[in-house]
Amino acid sequence: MTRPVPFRQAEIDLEVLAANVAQFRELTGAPLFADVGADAWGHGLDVVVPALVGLGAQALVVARLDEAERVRALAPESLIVTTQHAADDDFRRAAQLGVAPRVHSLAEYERAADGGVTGVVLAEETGEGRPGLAPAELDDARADAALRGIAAITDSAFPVVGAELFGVSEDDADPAPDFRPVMRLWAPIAATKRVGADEGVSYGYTYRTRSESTLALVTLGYADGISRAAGNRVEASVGGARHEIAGRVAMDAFMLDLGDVVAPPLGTEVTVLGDARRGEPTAHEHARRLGTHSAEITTRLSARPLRYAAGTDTTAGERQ
Amino acid sequence: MTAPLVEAVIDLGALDKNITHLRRTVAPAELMVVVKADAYGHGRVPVARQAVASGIRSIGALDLDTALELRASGIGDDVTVLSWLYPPGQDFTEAIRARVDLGVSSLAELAEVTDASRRLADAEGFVPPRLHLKLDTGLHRNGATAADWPALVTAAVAAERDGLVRTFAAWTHIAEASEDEDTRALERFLDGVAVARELGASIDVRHLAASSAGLRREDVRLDLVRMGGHCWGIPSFDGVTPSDIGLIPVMTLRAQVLAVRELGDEHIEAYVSAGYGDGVPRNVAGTCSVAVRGVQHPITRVERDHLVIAVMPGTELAQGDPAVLFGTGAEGEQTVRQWGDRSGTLGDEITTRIAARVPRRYLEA
Repeated sequence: MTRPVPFRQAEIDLEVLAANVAQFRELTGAPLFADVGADAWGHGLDVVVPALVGLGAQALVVARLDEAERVRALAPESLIVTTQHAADDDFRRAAQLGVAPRVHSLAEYERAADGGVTGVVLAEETGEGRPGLAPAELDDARADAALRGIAAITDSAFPVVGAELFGVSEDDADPAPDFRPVMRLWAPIAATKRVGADEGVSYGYTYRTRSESTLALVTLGYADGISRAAGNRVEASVGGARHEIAGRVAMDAFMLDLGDVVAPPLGTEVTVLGDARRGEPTAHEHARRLGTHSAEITTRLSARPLRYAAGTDTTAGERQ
Repeated sequence: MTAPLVEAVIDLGALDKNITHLRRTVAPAELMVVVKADAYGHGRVPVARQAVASGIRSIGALDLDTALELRASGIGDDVTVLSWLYPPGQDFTEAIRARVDLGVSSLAELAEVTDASRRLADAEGFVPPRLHLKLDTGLHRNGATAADWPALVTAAVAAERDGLVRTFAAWTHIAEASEDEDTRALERFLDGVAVARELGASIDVRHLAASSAGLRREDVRLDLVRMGGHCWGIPSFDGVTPSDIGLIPVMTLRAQVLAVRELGDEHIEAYVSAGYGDGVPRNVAGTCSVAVRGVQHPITRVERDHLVIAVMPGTELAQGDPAVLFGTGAEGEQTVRQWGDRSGTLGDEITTRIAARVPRRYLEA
């Protein structure tokens, strides 16, 4: 179904993605093994995967086979690695998809090899992280792989880069300025209204107007992935001006108190996650106010906001 | 067939029982089942179909994409499908053709609807869309303010006389800030209905209440009650379990034990195949638990693709064991309402944000 007008929008800037990839190469000199699990940290596989292939990614990493199947359809020639497998997985589907599993034990390696995969990544026991193969087991797996003609590499030869490519992080640190936010999450103002002073706003009336005010309804809510707890805590920007979300975030909308101003036109863009260079709140800032990291913010956006590449016409966009 | 690493099991039998119970409770008011936001993560089409099979004749869809998808999936004209949130510039042509009921909050929206009706009026089989005129009774989201209400109603009545719309219903959302506030909202609403009828609107149906007030208060039920959360067995007010109010949780979130690690000092931790990339909030670490073999093990960390539990001393578990994050409690697990309470939100937010990456499996009623 075509979408005639913007409703809930996640604009993906592929030029920023390219700049982040260039920065990653500059800083590390490493090959690009890109983790695009969880819908590319919420950025949308359909937009991101072809771009990363075009940028020369040597491997695309996801957690599970369902995800690998989607990536395979978008990247027919690429090396795809999965990292999480059921205890009774026979790896035949992985073999059919041409996926190289990352295996965590000798038994898992053997099941993968028996299932017909042509490549594996061997997790190494580090003593601190997740279980892996001990040195002697690694030797056994490598020897067996050589006999069977299976390409086998270890974790240490396969460093994966993930959230930073998208300008977010699983650390508390801000990835900017090295890595810029790739996503801009925005929605139009769908309604405005004038109210008096000391009026409650949204469920539970946790916000009250300070003066006569113009309220704006913005069509993003917790069903889109804006936390309900973000009310009275995180900011959104309208034409460069910042406003804290007024009152509780509802399932499908939140409110802004624009103050005693003339109502802006309906359709005015409100940005919730963006780039500080444009004066917008960032996922990093949003995360700090909610006590988490920026990777959780973008990854837990739902499928409902339309992901589209910046500069493309969204009117032909398909809803996910 | 290997066991899924993670899945949300949706018990349509429990949904049927909840709907039956809620319909009886709110009768003679009608129950509208609200399937917005993918039926709070439960899957809009299977849930709507079950609701219709359970006797429901009104479905709340929120937006036109959802409403039209429901019609396309075979929800017929004998079932009301209501939409009420639109981006500015929405084209209502398809909605009118598909006989979707339209919530209307402003003159601008009304004009968009009547424009579409005018274009379709001469087409064969044109039926004027039924409007649900929305009054703002204090929540201050959409809905016409009391000051704007007479103009909205007057314009709708004029359009009805031109054969373009029907002034079928009036409605509002209430803030649920307190019983007194809700009572004031009810009074404002009934005043608004009286004004509308004086201005010539028919208003066959009046609806105001959702899950919480609709279950607790008879006076707010009027002609129809809209419910989401309670249909999926998530209590929407404090101090009760689902069974206290006759409900069964519909969604069970399942994963499996990926690995078990001994940390020394007899501390054991285990990895479970669900993470924040599946919609498990990071802040359930330290507050919620996962049940394995009937025992609740506290969650200590949530990563993107997995979470970590501290294995309770003296219990056993093994790689491949089924793990239940939340559900009915039948396997010793917490309910999603408990997850919401413990992590500072609503169970509704938890189920709604279970990611599209998690496959849904339906147990037929």
